[in-house]
Amino acid sequence: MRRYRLFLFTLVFAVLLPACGSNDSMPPPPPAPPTKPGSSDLTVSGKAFYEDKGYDETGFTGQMTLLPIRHAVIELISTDTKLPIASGITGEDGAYEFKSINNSSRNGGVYVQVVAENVGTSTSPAKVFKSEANQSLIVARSPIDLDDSVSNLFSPVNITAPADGNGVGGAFNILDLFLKGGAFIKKAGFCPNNLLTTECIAPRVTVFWEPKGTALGGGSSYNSNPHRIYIHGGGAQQTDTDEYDDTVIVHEYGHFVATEFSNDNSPGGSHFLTDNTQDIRLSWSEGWATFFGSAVLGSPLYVDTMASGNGFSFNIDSPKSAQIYTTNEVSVSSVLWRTMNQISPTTNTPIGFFPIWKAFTEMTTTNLTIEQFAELFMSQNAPEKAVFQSVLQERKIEHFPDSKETDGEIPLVVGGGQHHTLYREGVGGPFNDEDAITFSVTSGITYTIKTENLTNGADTFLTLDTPSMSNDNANGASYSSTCDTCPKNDTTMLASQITFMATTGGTQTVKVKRSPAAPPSAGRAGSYDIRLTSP
Amino acid sequence: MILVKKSQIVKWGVLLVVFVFLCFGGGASAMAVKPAPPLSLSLTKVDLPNGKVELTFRATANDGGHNTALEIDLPSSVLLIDGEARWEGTLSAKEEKVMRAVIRPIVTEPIRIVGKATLYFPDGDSMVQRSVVLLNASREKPEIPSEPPVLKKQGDRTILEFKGK
Repeated sequence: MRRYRLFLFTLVFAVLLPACGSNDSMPPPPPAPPTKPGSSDLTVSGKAFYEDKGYDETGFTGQMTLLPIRHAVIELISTDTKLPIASGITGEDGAYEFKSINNSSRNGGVYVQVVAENVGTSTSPAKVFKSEANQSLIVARSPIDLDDSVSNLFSPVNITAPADGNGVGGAFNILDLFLKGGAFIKKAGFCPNNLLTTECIAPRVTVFWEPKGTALGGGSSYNSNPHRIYIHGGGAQQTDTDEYDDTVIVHEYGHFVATEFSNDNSPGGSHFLTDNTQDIRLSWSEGWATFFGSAVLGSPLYVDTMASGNGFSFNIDSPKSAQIYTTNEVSVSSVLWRTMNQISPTTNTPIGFFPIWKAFTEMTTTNLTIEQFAELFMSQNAPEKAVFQSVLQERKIEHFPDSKETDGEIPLVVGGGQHHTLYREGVGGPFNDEDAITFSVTSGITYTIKTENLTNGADTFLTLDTPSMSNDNANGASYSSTCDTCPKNDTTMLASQITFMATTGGTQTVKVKRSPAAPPSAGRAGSYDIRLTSP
Repeated sequence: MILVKKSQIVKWGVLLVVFVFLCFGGGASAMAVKPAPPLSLSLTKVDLPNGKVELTFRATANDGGHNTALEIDLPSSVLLIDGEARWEGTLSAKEEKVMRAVIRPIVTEPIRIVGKATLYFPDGDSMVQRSVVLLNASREKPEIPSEPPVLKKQGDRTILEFKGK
């Protein structure tokens, strides 16, 4: 009975629904027959291009290059209905052709529009929208309309997306760089869970680019959930647009690649190139992204131009002296770039991208830092380990046991200091190192023992046997395992200190290990100095 | 005709909520912003009476503590009337240094003025950033821009239509 009632209700609802909201009961009149019908056998062909702005390390050069719009959606639009009547895909050279199109049911008149959309079969499917708030698809239309009511033969219709102030060329430059990035990883020939058998194919990504639009806080960026890349197209003063900054665009694409083919747990946010106290997760994420861009473009030069000209640039093959440690993004980029270009002792050819890509794609979801990458790379490429170590040491990254562990312990003396690394080889290594450092004391004298000059993400923890004392942070602070505002990896923030009076004379031992309460921004290894003083 | 039990509606409702959560809010999401240089620079100009121009060069330290030299690089085609064209010192993080210079161009051709910032690192290494302003820009061949884009409805979608060349 209940089923019968539900059936009856649905039937009444289905009958009444079409009438809702309608002002008359008559169906709309059929469209009027065309007065000047279009061709029943229309063929339109041509090529689509965009203008690309040239740049060097000092900014835009003023040179303009015409490049094909590749693998994009292209549509034939009726000027009568304003709707697409045919669609296709541009070729590698930007060429397209609409063949034998029947437009006779409409008034004549067509034009061609190329959509800022890389098709699904390309190396990197993507679409460019105006903004997240206004999801209008970016298109460039042909400069002329074709009247197919009088002819069906036309000379090629070429479309060039210009690069001037109102130009749309930048949207197609973004897409072209994505194609290059997608082709690069596809060529790498290896994908997680498909060992050496399946190519990596980039999934679809959405791009927001708003010419002369609202300034993006912090500039162009990537957001992983879901995949969205924001390329700065404007702002009130139009000072820092990025649609022609190839290195910025491929850097953001590098973040997308990391999320999709490896992992990324960087906290994100603002970051500065000369900061060598960065969160170690951030320096890895940003360092990878810049390296990836350079690998795709085949140049170590990163350039971020300003609309007025100039801007800034840096070279990851020859970083500045301040760009060192595991906690600086340029240092990380440089390690990856220089490793790729070092000569392998086994093949006598450059190491190349593949071994880096392999280690990168096999990184686990936690502790995503250059430390994990280094361990994976060295275990997978034993003959290249020495070369890799030399590259690390160019950037003062001490990913090796300190000399006290390899050459034997040397006692610490009052007023003196020693340099150590929290890294050990062999069983239990490399990240659970504990340095035991001896020193002599005299009964009744007060001593202070402290760690200082912390680098490479070190967070020390001191333990003394007699008297039984320990210290994590000399500044008394403690940090949660999910710190929202993590401490900087500077030389003092995570240092430790113990002051004590010796009750008996003789030899004491202080043990130094990584803090069991280290914040996630710190490394699992790191370097430090230890100093003993007595007033 | 498909008849659905209440328990099935509840089950599908729960699955829908889970799906929406996974798609739109289930994963961690962090904004990876592009790299920023150690200084934020801007060089701007204001036209004054009698053919004078006031230049303002602002430098804000993103990452402080570096020995920094700021210079408005004045070509021989302008005269410095008043103000400073060079400063050297150390800026702490977020600290801003503003330099002003009043100049007079002595030619009518376009002049490119460069505001240059050099950061010096402890071992003698350095890094340069620049900002540029153009004087007598109206004398340059004006660029004829394309028509502005038009927002249009095209079937079910909205497009921002730019005119190609």
